[in-house]
Amino acid sequence: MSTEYVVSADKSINYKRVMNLLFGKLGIFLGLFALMTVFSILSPVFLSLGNLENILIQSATNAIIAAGMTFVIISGEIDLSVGSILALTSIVSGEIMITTGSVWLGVGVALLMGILMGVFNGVFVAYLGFPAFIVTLATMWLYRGSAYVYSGGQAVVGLPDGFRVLANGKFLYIPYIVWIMLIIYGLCYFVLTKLRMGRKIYATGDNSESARLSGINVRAVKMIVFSISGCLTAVSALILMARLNSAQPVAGMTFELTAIAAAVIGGTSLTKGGVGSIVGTLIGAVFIATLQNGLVILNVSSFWQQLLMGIVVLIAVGIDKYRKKLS
Amino acid sequence: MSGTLLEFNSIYKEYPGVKAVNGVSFSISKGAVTALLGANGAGKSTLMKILSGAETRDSGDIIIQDNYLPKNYSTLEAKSLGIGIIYQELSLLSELTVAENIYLTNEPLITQFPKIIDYKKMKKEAKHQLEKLQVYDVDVDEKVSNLSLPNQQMVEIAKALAQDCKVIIMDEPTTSLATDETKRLFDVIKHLKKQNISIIYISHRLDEIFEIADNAVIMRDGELVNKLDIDKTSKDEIITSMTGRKLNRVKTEDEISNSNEIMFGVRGISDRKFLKDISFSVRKNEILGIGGLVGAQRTELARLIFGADKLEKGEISLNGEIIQNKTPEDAIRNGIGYLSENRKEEALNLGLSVQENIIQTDLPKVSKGLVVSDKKIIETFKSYKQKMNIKGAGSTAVKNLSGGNQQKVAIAKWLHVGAKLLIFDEPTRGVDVGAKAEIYQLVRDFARKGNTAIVISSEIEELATVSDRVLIMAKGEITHELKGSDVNQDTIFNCITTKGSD
Repeated sequence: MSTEYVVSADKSINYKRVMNLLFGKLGIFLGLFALMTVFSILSPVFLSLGNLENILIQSATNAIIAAGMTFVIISGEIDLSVGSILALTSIVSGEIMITTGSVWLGVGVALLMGILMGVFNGVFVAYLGFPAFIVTLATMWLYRGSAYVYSGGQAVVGLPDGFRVLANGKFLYIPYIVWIMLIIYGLCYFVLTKLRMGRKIYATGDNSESARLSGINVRAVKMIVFSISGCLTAVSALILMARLNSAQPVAGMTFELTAIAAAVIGGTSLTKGGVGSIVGTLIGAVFIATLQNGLVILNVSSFWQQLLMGIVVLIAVGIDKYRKKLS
Repeated sequence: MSGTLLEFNSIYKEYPGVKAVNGVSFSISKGAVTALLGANGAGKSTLMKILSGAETRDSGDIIIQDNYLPKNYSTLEAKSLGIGIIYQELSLLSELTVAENIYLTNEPLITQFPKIIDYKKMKKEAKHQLEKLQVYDVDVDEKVSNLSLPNQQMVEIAKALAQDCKVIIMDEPTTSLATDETKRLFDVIKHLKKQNISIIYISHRLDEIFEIADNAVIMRDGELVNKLDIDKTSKDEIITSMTGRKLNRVKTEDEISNSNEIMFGVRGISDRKFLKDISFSVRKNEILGIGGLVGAQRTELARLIFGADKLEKGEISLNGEIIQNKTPEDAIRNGIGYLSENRKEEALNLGLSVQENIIQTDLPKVSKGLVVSDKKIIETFKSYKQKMNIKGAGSTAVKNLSGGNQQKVAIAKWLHVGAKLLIFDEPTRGVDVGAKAEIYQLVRDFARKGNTAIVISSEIEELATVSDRVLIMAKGEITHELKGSDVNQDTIFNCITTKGSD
């Protein structure tokens, strides 16, 4: 009787461990792998080098925003204003590039603006105690409105040729855009897992009052995550501008939602701070780009793409819930 | 007492790898208070969850008034079977009124379809239920969030009565109550007994058991180890049954601190609302106890010293130097630590690992430059695990530890940062008897190494056991100072209850 009991307990623990791995860290990789297998069976072009490069380039804009979003979500907040930050930074920096002819000045202004808009969000959340959802909902309109007012609703075209290099250039056969994405993810991984700041971000997200009473400056942490989000959004704005060869006030609509989706698919918890991984977000972003790319290749209408995205997000959240039940 | 109300007959419940309840049988008489005792993890909570319908048993029978209960029933069905449970964290809906809470899911109706609530009748009956408990100062139209904690508890009990409960489970009901409020609760319990209602009473405070219980059922490691008649047993017997060993006394006369060097002091500190001109000092190696009723503002005092709340006026000094604690960050840099009474909400990051929690107070200590060193983190954890007898691995999430082990992790945080003054706010709340003794030892070890400890406690026994000197507070002021042989349970009790009449 007693030996039977031990055996069954062992079995269930092993089963649990396997399930944990399948639905935990490995899950998103397996999901991506399965998706790619399906597409490569359905279409011979899918697995070509050119198309894989396409997927990475297409995922970059979202992935870079989603990296910043992951910082914000892990710290227990949310940033709905990223799409609008993208629009305003690209309009203003595009205008500057054209009038001054200096690409670098435009890039500098874009990054600075991204950071400042993040700081603006952060002040309301960290120092005035407003809920991040409401603050960034408001600044989503505020920044978008500013972009319309500043541009008069017109696209900014005629960017300097030198700037186009960002979209076309390659280094070691790999496009600049992909390099930028990988370097940013490397840095984010380092910050979150190796730097003191990373520990503070997780602690603040898990329980900000207890973090504060442990001597962590949670206000500073919140200011920093919102500035990171703003800054990375500006990087994404520059990439999108270079790819489209123009800056548009309507750019970046609903990008906040795709970024949140990438983080959630990658295992970052939207309901509870302090949980999430930057690698997961990268895979999540690639997953979304793969799905969109594959459906385009298969000639599936974009209406179906949206429908499928909804299903994917529901499945991701379901897996997250199941994983919690296991542990 | 007239016969058996409820019977457990060889109840089993197994989780993967753990036999949480292992063949437990006992019965409960009508109108009796049965204390259910055991260390954390002994299986009492699981057994009570089974009874209240929150968990399903694997096998065994539960018989209430000669009716065999089905294997599977919901908490709602349990209520209709006459089983009520009052959790430590009360489960009232704070935005609803008292009357709405008492009759929740059981509202008196004007018409059956559609179900229109008869508010007039509901209020009248809610008032009646509270009066049965001799509670007259609660307005049934008041929102529950506006009530004091003891009054909320009374509403919970009234709710159980309104649902005609025959047995009420009370899980650590006095944890957040002050002495006079506990007395009121006991009066209510005695009153319930007269109405032939049975109580299952879970508590870590043995004094209370002797005051209120008729008999005790003791569990250890999922098994029932002893059934005792309270009149015919002693504290020592109960503790031995619970832990399998004896509780060692921490303090002996010659161990009392004898340093004369003043280490920490506050002069004339106040906040805007509650605290008026508080001054006291603590010597090196000394353990200063602070007692008082709920509302004495002891926690507020600690938070003020720690920079968690804003200091309006007054001075704080450590080692003869005046220090400014504008934020907890400043206080920690100045060598002050604060172990919050709300372990889960304020002292720990429950979702993070044990080692992550310990190093949090001093990240530079485990870093090279800005980069944290995993090796140093693991070394730090290992040294505290060994020193403090912490169960579990460094990567375990803190939420998976028992109360006693969580508390050790919370204390390790402050040892890690090397605090010189550590304020322990209710250091043994919700921890079992064995861990309690270990925590007292930790407090003493800390203070005797050239530091200073302040222990805030609502348990008089704890204050008397651990303190060298005791301050009593009432309504934001210090009313008494007890030294030497005055540090005993009787004197402390008298000072707390006389409310500073001198």
